[in-house]
Amino acid sequence: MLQAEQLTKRFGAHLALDHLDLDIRSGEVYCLLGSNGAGKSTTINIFLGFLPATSGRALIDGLEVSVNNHATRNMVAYIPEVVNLYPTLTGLENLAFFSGLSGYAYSRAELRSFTQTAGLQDAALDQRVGGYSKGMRQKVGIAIALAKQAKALFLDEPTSGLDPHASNEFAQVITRLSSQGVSTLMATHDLLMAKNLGHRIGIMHQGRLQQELHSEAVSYAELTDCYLTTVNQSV
Amino acid sequence: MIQLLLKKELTELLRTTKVTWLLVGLAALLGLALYNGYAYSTTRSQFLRESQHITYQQFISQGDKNPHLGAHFGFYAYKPTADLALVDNGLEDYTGNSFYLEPHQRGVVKFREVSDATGLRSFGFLNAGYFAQFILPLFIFLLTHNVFAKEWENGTIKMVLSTRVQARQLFTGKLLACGLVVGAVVATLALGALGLLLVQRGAAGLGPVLLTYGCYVVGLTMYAVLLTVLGVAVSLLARSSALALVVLAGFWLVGVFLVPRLAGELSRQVYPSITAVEFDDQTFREKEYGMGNEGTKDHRRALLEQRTLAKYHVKRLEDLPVFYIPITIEYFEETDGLVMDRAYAAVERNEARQNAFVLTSAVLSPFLAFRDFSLHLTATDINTHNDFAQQAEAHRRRVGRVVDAFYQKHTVASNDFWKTVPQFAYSAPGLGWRLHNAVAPLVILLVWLVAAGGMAVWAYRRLTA
Repeated sequence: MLQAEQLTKRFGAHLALDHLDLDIRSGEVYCLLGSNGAGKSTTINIFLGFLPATSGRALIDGLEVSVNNHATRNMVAYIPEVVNLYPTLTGLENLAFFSGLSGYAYSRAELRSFTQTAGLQDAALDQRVGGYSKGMRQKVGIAIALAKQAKALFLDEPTSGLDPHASNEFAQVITRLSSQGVSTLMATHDLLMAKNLGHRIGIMHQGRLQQELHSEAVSYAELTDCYLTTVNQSV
Repeated sequence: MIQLLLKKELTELLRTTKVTWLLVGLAALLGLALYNGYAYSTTRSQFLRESQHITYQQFISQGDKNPHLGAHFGFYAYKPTADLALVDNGLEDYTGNSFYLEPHQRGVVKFREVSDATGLRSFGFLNAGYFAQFILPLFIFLLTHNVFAKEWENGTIKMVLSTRVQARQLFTGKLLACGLVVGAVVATLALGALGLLLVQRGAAGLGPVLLTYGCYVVGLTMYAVLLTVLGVAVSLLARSSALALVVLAGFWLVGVFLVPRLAGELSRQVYPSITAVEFDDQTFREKEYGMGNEGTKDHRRALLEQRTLAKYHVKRLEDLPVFYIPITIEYFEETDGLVMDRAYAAVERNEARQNAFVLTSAVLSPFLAFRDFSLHLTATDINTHNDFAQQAEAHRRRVGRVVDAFYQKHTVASNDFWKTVPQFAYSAPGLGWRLHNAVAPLVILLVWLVAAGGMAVWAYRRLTA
């Protein structure tokens, strides 16, 4: 579903992404671990078409992003660390707006079903987003992804700053979407979340994919050890 | 898609507290501007109409007098309030409104409104024209400065661009939303002024000015469009509300305050005006000694005497069948008139050069171009003022000829004669003349519109990149 072929990105002399190869299947959750500047967000930005690759290709469902950006954007949803919404609009209005931009016009009841699935309380629907907590914004972000009927999710540090309960709720939704065939590429610093949620885990450093692990094949302690070893060896 | 974007933008704008307060403040200023324009033009129009009637009635009721002394009693020619002074009173306050019609000397336009006004007048007079020229641009810039920049600052741009929306649709939606709000303000201004014109002039009186007013509104719309496009483009390029606001507010300050003052000062340096002392000295010398080789006044007086005696085939002035004094009065009225015409034409040419210089600086300030356009369309410009002064002077000479012709045969004039002296009535030139004067500022506004469009295209390409 998501493929990176020798994906490379340079910012001047700085090599942000170095010949990355990825192949993420439908329904698979792939977690990218790495310290700041490892290339995780750059990878996501190239898949979303926000950044052009210097060389190599990013493909979504077989379509090359740089060539078919409009078509590939129809298939994906993006949830950043902080889901940025319009503060003067209500949660429901934000959801209606973003799903509308994706070509879907839903009734209030349909929109409500997405927010319920995402775990957002009904009482919050008609409140302006300016008063939402970070967790509530994340839930609206998930509802947007559901409403867009996205085939692939790009998550950039989505649980950073969330309390354990909200983080757990978030993981449950991603797992549910995964079971429905939605592929997920998640950049995170949260090793435990990566271990529990991801099918595969990639450890990046200095723009290179250094390690790739199956989460079922490693314990949390082994993952932590592997992560620290990889990062420290490369310094 | 654009409808969706438009709806969201408008909802967002109208729910933003600062925009709400901005609109409330703007509505108050607009109401005050319309009221001021209406009250000013109505009061002034009535005052000038009554004054013209009174001064003429006094003249034609002066009783039995020597015709020439009666002519010296004189009367005022008042410049009626411009037909669209309700919209923009332009230079009316500074140019004066009356011209004294008296033998021998061309009058100087008197009674400038500012001479009776308080110091607060130096801030300008708030009417529809002032609102459109200076306040509307500031409102447009405050409205548009963050229309794109906030998307980057809030981080929503990534959420938006991860949907199927195209950059073209996003740009159009935002531009249309700002355009609708600005359009509502412009429409309120235009319809408000139109309603007051109807109240002031009645349905029959509105007809003659309707087309001119329509042209003014077209120019105003073009001005508002170019400023809106410019504001949106800057917001897109700056990607920071603070930077966009600084750029747009700076542009407004430079365009409204710096460029006009600098251009005015420079125009006086490049084309210095003749001083009143120099003007009087020059015209006195030319009247006394002639403009060319026609000789001194005494020499010309002697020649006139010879010509008159020859014309009537007599040898002494006492033998003339007509009074000789009015003949000399009429003769020197004409020759002195030529001196004054030439001197005033030189002053007007210099004024025109200064104005052209100032207008050229409008390539740096669309506010200046629109102001010039507004003055011409509402006939409150220097061209109309000079036209009034010329017509008043022509009327002064006409009165002189009528009186002198009578004086050649009669030494006493009664009210029956004074009533035959024509009243002065001025009407400003029509739309064709005004549009002709407004061509240059209109072209500059068009250039600004094209430039703003070009900047928007450039900004849009950066968005797509």
